[in-house]
Amino acid sequence: MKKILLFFVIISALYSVEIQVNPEKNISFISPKEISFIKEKFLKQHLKISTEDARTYLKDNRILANMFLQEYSIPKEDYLKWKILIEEELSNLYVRKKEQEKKITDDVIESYYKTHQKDFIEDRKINAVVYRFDDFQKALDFYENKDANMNPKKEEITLITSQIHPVIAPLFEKVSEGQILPPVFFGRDYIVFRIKKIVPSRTKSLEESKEVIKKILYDKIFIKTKKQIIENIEKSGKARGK
Amino acid sequence: MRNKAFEIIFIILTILFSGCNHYTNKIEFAMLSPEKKTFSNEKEKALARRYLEYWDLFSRKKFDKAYSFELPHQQFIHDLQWYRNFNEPNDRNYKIILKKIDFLNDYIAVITAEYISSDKETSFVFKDKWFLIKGRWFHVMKTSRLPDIQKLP
Repeated sequence: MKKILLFFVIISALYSVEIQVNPEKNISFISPKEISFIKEKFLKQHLKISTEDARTYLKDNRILANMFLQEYSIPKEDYLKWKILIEEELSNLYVRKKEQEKKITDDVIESYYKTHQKDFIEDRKINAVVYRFDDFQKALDFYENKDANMNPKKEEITLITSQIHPVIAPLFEKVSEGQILPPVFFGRDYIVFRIKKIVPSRTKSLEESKEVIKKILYDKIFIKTKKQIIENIEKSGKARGK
Repeated sequence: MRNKAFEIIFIILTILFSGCNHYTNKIEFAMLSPEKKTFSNEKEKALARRYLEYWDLFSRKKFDKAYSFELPHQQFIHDLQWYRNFNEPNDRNYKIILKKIDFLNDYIAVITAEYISSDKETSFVFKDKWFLIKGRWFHVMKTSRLPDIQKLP
């Protein structure tokens, strides 16, 4: 990631991709877009990081990348690798753009929706407050409401039934709103869950599913579209470098 | 005399063109099994009409027209050229006799029918799934030569 931030891709007159890497002059300026990009990247790995952490991450990488450019030179193999990656990225972007020209009509969307109903079932969601304790007795006292002055660490979470860790999943099979569950040892703490809200499983409406369906369908024709574009470009002689 | 001539031309033209739309105006009873010659409602009748029209086109290898009966999202994914190439090796001029229609819900129907080869040497019973999309029935396109595992007992 840190490498891509420093990229300057030059599309030359011959339409071939060339790469030039220059040090970032303004190290301390981190744009909001960069921050949200990094947060999203971590989220894909199931890690939620704060804006401040994202900023630090970007800044540290930028400092080190600049240091590298000052002290060393980039190996040729790395240039080659980045060039291939960027060409791949641009190629995909081009196909995606061309795909959009093939309109997806409402009957196509309805057809996919009706034939893939199971894919549009949204799992039951449980909104709960998590109380954490470092000792079982304290957790038990809290659960039995023995000490009204207790002020444990707490956070609110949303659990999706099918994604609950198998160790604690049986606890949530038959729960009701307002219920407090007995303490369990999970992770590094003794935990007490208080169920706030239960959103039952449901099938998403056609309207809600439209965008997802469009994406799925475009994904399905991606390879075919790519092949067709290449064939057309080659036939028309537009491909440069031949 | 002139009127008579017009009358004769009109009758000849009617006879010539009557075969073109026989499926769209009425159900072809020869392709329905004896127990399926009556329909409980218009929905069932509309499905039977589409079904028989589809299989008539398909057995005569009129793939350009049969293609429009396939589910719209499958048409989006598989183009007509692919469809023609995929189905070209199939048999032709076989007969399909519609035997039973089961509605799984208000937009899914499973149709049981009998296949009879043109030389009448081969026959078997098979099932077809149809979906109601925007008020019209569409067939689930076959996209693999492998047997449909879901349909196996």
